[in-house]
Amino acid sequence: MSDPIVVFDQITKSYDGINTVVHGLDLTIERGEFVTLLGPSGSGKTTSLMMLAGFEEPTSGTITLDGRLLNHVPAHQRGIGVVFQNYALFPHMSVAGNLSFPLEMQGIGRAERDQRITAALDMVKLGPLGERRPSELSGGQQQRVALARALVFQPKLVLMDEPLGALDKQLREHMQIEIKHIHEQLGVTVVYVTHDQSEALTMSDRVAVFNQGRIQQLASPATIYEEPANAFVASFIGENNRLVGTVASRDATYCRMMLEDGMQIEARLADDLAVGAKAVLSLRPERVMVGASGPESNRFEARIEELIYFGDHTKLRLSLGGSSGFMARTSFKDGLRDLQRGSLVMVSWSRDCGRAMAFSEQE
Amino acid sequence: MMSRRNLLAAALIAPLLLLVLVSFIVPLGATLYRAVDDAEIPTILPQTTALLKQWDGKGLPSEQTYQSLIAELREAQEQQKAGPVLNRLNFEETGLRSMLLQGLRASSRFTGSTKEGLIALNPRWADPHFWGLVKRSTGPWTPLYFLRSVDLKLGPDGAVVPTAEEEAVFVKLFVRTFEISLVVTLICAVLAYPVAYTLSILPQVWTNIGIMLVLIPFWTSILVRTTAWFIILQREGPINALLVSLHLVDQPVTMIFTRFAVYLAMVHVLLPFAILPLYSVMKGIKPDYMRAAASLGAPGWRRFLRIYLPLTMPGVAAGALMVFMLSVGFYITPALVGGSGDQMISYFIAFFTNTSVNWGIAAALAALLMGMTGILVAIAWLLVPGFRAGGVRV
Repeated sequence: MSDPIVVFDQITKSYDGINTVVHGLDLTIERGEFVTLLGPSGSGKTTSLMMLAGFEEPTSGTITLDGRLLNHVPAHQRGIGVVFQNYALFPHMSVAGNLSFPLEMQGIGRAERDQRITAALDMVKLGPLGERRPSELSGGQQQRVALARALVFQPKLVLMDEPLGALDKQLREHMQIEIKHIHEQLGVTVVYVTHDQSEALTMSDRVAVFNQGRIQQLASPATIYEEPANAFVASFIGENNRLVGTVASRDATYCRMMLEDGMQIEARLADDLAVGAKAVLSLRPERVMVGASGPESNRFEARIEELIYFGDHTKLRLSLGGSSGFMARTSFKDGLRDLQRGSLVMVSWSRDCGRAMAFSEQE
Repeated sequence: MMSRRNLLAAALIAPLLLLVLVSFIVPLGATLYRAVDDAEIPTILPQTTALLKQWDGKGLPSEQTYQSLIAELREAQEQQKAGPVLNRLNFEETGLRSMLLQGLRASSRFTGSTKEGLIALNPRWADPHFWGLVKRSTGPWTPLYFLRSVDLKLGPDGAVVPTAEEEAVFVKLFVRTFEISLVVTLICAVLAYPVAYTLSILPQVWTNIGIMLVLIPFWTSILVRTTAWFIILQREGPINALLVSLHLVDQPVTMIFTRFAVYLAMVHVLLPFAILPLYSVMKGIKPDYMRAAASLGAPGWRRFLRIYLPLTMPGVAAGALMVFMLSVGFYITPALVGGSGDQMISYFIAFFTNTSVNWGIAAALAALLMGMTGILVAIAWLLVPGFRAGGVRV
């Protein structure tokens, strides 16, 4: 079952010998997988990608590709396709010239080159634009050329470094789907770097959430979203309400948390917390039900501080549990058109939706 | 609203436009005018000019024409204005100056016909060819200076013929000028490339120091730098002293007043002009291009040839163009460190302007130099891909 293509083993990277950018990274990527490295800037995700591509050398540890130790293999011998954030299309060559370049480097004959260039351009729906210069294309078209160029020489592995960062929202969402389809079609392994969590969730088989040079969680998008391993992942992925308190009582699965103002909340235990331990409740705004109906377990009265209209839904900022930043998300199908700032409203949520996690000071 | 902004823009540009007009277009026009203007004889010898216009060119002109020429020349001489006329005719054919002066001195003793007196004095006065030359010089325009600049002249029958071998110097000079300029440009490009590359990849602190090292000589006067080479390259200079003391040579090597010295000093003076544009182009090339080429399977030398070199061509072209244009006009450096066989066209333009005061030929040489340089640059623009930087966005 397991067929790893890339293995990072205890990879550490420091540029200056003082600050460590990547700490003892272990990561195994399966063949044909779409893995996203997600994290804020400076979290080590791009550095990890650059080490895999061969543009940076690890300070210690090993990387293997298909069982071959990569540490001293120069970038041009790795056979890894790379899509760059700014595309890095060669401005002095036509689109076809850009695509031809890797094929020429492999010594592929003219006839086959032309055939593969045509196929690659068709794949990214740029068939007739081969003779154009990159500067004559739109940002979206340039992005497609970059994609075609990274794939045309049939690498086993393609790395993408925030490839959609420069596109507008609509085009970005469109390209996300398209890249996903190409991945499925070709069965190529993709390692994708982004700081955009929705991109990571949409596209990936697995997501590695990076922070401060370490992988915080490596799991499927649903697991990352629904069961964040720690408070960082919970707050970095999607919106999140955080309420701090202590564990008053617990059983095998659930606990009762006491907040500072005396409010008591039932929640699922995400960590093995002892009674009396300081804990953080993590709760997604869309899990909060607004109005009289809803579960009985966690039902409170809250005051509406602000209404934020989004078209397809409305966000409520509420005062609850000593915090005035508690967010709830409501859609109009709940029939709550007459909500007003300053009015009181009932909110509730299932004890399965709130996750009690260990409190850590560094946040 | 719009027109007020346009007016403001025009007002802001006006001083610059005026400066360009006064300091560039007007002198340029005047130079071109000088090169074809032929006003000396019609201005100073108006009556003779009028009489010669009536002369059909067959046989000899009338007695009246001889008298008029002598009378007007004498008058001009008294007013100290005869020089340009004599120079002009002597430029047409060497020896005419002395013949005219001789005639002028003798004419006061003539009792009978001026024509016969002059012919008796020097049989050339009876040569229709002489009068043909004078008639040809009565303006208002002449191709003579331009023809002479490329070692051609008008023959007796008005046909264009090569000048005598001992006078044919200018084509050789142009060839030498462009040869020296091309060699200097080539050396500068080859030397500047690695320097600019190194500057572009060094850490910022070292880049600043490196740029200073390039700029300090750049800011030093050309004269000072050339004089320094003049001293260094002397037969008894420091280089020879070193070579002899190390027993590398038995006799001091002749370096000063050679082509080698000219190349050395010119490259030294012009190198910053090649380094700076190259550096700025190289600085603008994102490392991602080279990384992309590597990821696509290109080893180092192919990355350089296929990606880096083409991307830096606009810088090479800009630097080479600058060096070439400046080289072509170089004057003081070859004059100080070169031998007589290493002087460039500017030296002769200066000579004709200041020493022999033949502004016509100086202007024609200058105009030709400009024209030829323009043509060479246009050819380079068409042939060298980097010149048309339009397709390249770096």
